[in-house]
Amino acid sequence: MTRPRRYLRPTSVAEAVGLLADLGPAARPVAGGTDLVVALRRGEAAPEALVDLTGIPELRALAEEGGAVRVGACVTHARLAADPLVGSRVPLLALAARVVGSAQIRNLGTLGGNVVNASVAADTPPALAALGAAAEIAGPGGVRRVPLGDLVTGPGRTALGHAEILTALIVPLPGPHGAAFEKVGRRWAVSIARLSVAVAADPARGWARISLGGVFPSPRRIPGAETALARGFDPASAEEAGRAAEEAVRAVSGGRPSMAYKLPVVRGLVARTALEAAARARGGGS
Amino acid sequence: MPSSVPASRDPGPSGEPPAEGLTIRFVLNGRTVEARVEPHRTLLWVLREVFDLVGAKEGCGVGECGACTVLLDGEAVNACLVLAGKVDGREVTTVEGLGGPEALHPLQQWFIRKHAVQCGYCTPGMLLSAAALLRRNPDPTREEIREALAGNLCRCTGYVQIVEAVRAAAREMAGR
Ligand SMILES: Cc1cc2nc3c(=O)[nH]c(=O)nc-3n(C[C@H](O)[C@H](O)[C@H](O)COP(=O)(O)OP(=O)(O)OC[C@H]3O[C@@H](n4cnc5c(N)ncnc54)[C@H](O)[C@@H]3O)c2cc1C
Ligand code: FES
Ligand code: FES
Repeated sequence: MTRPRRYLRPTSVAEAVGLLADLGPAARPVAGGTDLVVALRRGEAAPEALVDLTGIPELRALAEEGGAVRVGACVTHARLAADPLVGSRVPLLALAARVVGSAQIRNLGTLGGNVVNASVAADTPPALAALGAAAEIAGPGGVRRVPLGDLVTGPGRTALGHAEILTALIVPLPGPHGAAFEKVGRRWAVSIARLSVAVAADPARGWARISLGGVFPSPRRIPGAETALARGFDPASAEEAGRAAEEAVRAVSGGRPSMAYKLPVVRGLVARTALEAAARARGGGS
Repeated sequence: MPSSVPASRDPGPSGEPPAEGLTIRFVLNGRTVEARVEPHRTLLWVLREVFDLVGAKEGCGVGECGACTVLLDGEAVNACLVLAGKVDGREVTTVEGLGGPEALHPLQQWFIRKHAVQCGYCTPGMLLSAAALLRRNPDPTREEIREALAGNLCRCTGYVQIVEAVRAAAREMAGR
């Protein structure tokens, strides 16, 4: 394992940003460590100093705030999966957090770490993308807020600047909806076989949000599939949504060999998940 | 990461400036302990090398097998992924703290009675994942037990006996 020589435990965002700014790019933030410790062990990361963000109370806060749920970056997947506010107001996010790794991984891994690590196969980013989440970022220049799509710019890449940290995800409340999240690909290690589908739908008000993980360089919604599902929220419109998703994936990444097997899976999984979300909305929640 | 180690610094172990040691103080199986460790150490290393508690095993070292599972503030975690600095001020329970030879925990007794142990490599981790589950949910279904143990791999038993052992222990603990 590569050896960081310092371990720092700031207790405020200002202190963390100050430390990162002073130490320069060889310092690395760490949250749960479920991605970073593996990277250290494999020699894929070699920071000189680790700045542990999990002792900062603000980053562990989770509350409703001005028409949105504000989730501190260091909130764990286990907490998201069990939190009553998340479960009732943004169930899609709870469903995605529930299927991350194992119980042990969910007790350590954080929402912020999942986003900043920017793996194409990560589970919560598709849910956050479907929900239109924004990222709150703190750095030497102050605090800024950007749409999630502007933070995660590609596989393993983010737009975080020097000494900037992700402080929270702001998830606007979509109103009552049914949610469904499905993934295929059994073990995390075989990430090439992974695909996830996030759907939020409200037939009563006629809207649907559909996004995919595992197939695009960064999480994104599929407007064609959303429009198709909203035509009826029935098996036929769900089939249409599946076909639209398949087309969107083919257009972006059809050339890759793993796609030959993935395309029909995309179609089927999107149709099934869309129908499930619609059914849950009618059944009064998810 | 950009390569930003100053060029003047020799990358070889001998040329590196020494790591800044870290003092951690935590409750280990009910007793307050202290250790001085280097920043890259994991909780698993601290348990095995500093405190000689070898119940937690290193199977994969990367969070996939669960052989290193311990309780951190009562929740199951992979000790191989927990950096030592995170343990300061917290509470850790290992299989040695769950129950010893003179006073086995009901889970341990039922693992033996239901033949849920073969080579035993996965057993300490299985026991702690199960203990965390029963603390939250004293009457879990088979499905809930399987979900709670999904991060613990066993190459010997095929899981059926393990699930049965957890159910039996839950019944005994609830006095059913
Ligand atoms: C066995 C195993 C199974 C897994 N299964 C899944 C799975 O099914 N689905 C899934 O999505 N993921 C999975 N993961 C990946 C991982 O658990 C998640 O990505 C997790 O959410 C990462 O969070 P963390 O807090 O542990 O991140 P860390 O490892 O602490 O950090 C990850 C990266 O983000 C940076 N970082 C963390 N927080 C911040 C912040 N607030 N601001 C700036 N930078 C930050 C760190 O510097 C590092 O580069 C798995 C991992 C393992 C080991
Ligand atoms: S050794 Fe920790 S999970 Fe395998
Ligand atoms: S008993 Fe051998 S691995 Fe489980």
